[in-house]
Amino acid sequence: MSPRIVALAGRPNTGKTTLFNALTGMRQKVANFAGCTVEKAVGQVTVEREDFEVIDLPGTHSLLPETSDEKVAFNFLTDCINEGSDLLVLCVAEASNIENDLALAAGLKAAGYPIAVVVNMIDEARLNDVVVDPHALSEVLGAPVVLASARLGEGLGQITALLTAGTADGKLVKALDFRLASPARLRELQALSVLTAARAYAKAVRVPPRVLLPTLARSISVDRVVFHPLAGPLILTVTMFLLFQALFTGAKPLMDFLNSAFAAFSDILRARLPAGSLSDFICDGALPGLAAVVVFVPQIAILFTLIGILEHSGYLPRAGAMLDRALRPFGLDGKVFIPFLSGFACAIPGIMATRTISSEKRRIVAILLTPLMTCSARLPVYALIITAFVPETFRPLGLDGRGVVMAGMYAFGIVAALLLALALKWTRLYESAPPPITVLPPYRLPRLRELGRYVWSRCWHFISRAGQVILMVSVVLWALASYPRPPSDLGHPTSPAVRIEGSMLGMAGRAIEPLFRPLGWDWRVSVAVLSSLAAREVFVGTLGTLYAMDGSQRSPRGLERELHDAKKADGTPRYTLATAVGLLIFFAIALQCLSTVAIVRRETGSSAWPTAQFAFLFVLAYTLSFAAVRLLS
Amino acid sequence: MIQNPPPSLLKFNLNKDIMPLMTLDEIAIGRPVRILALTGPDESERARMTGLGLRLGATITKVLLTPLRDPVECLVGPQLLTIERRILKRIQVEPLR
Repeated sequence: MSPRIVALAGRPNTGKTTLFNALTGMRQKVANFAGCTVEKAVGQVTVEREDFEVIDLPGTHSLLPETSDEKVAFNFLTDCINEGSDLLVLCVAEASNIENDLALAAGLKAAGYPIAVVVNMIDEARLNDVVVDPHALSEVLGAPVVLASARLGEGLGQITALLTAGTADGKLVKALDFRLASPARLRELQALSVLTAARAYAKAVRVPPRVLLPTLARSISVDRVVFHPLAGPLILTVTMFLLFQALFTGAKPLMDFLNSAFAAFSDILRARLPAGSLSDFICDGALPGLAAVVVFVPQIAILFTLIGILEHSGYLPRAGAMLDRALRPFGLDGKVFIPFLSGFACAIPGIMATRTISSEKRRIVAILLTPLMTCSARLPVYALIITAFVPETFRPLGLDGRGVVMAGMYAFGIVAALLLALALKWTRLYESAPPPITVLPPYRLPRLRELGRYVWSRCWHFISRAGQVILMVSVVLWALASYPRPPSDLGHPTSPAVRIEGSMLGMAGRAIEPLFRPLGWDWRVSVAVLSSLAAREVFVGTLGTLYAMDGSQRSPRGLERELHDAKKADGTPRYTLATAVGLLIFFAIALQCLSTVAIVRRETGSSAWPTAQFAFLFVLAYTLSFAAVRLLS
Repeated sequence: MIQNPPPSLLKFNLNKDIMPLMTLDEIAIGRPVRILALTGPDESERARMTGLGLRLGATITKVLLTPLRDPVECLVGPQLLTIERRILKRIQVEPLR
């Protein structure tokens, strides 16, 4: 017999995930909900030798699913019933906000689902002098009720006891199919459950009269500072500045270390393995591919630790609310803040963060624009081009000119995204009236364990999702760059540059050279741009190989000088400043990252979006780059 | 002509010709009021708003303006919401006694 399924349902910020962690401990894994990409956290609990499968459903605000997350939650419950699984829905409610939270429980009960209620954060309710009578609550709702605090581990024993008990009522009720239910039926259900919840609240909950709950009073006084007309924007700016500062200063040494560790490991392996295709495959194909994935993990971990702190403390929704009005003229709203912010590390977690955007059109817009944020893979490319072509003597206003250009590239990405958002207002993707209300959770101290799990799950998603694509593309590109092998004349081993030139990739580079010649690219840059489809920073590695006289030369400083001093056959420079500016613009705009394309395909559920996105951004990048080259030369 | 109808009457009589109705956008910050009705074309959106605590009879207080004066932070029952300005006009309210 398949194990009983215990689904944790509730509104966001009720502590569902904390309860899930407390119940399952380390026995969890992440899977996908059937037929879609929303991740499903599945855990195991064993009570009295009986196994239970615990599932943490995405948060739901009402019985009328709106966001893709909400739809998934309700569809999952429906599927469980249709498949005849032994299901128990544990509805999690926040003790201090119980009237709003109980509506879901009442609604699911009325819809015929077997439920039990966990009144969570009972410790906070005690501080607030809120008293909840579980028996009275259970009577009105017709379901077992447990008071608990998942953070403190209180009431966990009672919850596990609930799991083993049979479903509350033995009668078989035909549960409502949320996939088929009409909006009118759902509205009716919502109205009914709000009434039941109000009845249960009136009967079972005692709140101190006419006083603001202490947790609320505290949140409001913090908000007076956070939303202050002057202090508010200042705090937001400083927070963002510190976040980026931590991202760059913190991640750089780790990334450098990982890069050199991989290079050293590859050298050791190459020395040990017999020379040949296998050694080449491992040292030049698989290992660099793996390195391309792993070097991003520190950045993603640091970024999500900071985002996690901001999110768990309750600041992030407030930051979004502050920016909401400013983004509205562009056809965006405060909800794009988190995806865009994540996009500065890597577009992939950013695109996955769009799932909480309730308007489907706005979600697509966010998915289309997030890759324009300057992700960390663009940095090595920018650094190489800027150091090679921006002269050290360029010091606008006495500032470091190279730093200014780099900062300018960040601004360029943001401005490009905003302008494109503006342009999208004239398409069918424009949503003029997105859902107008956001819940501000009370401020809470982030807890280390929750934070750790949050960061780990983000990193793991990146490694498992993007990792596969990056690794695969790297290996394929390696194969294209290595075959067919040149007829090696004995005693004269061919240099890597010669090998690439004669390979399929080299041939492809030569084939597309005419296309990119207007931008000032020769076949080497074209090959490097092709190879950067695996991950943008591969551009640097490929150019390095093409310019290396022998296989051992790896110094990046050397590459910058090589690029700067490279001459055509007639003695004129091979690349000019105009070429460099064009390249920078091209990399800022073009969707030069197949992992992002793959993720967009998964998240939108169609190939049309990523195809259109890739094609449009390529044409735009090419056009702008061409215009820049024309203007400057 | 009814001059000052008792608040209880308001719940049943929503005829605008007889009495002016107050909407949340006209209410001062910090003054708690009771929700009488939610208006607007989309029924499902209104139903969802009830899931956020905006139901008939609930108490709502505008707490703070965000720095750009939109959205507005409101206290609804025991929770804080930010509500877009254009929606405030669609929340009909009466003063608390």
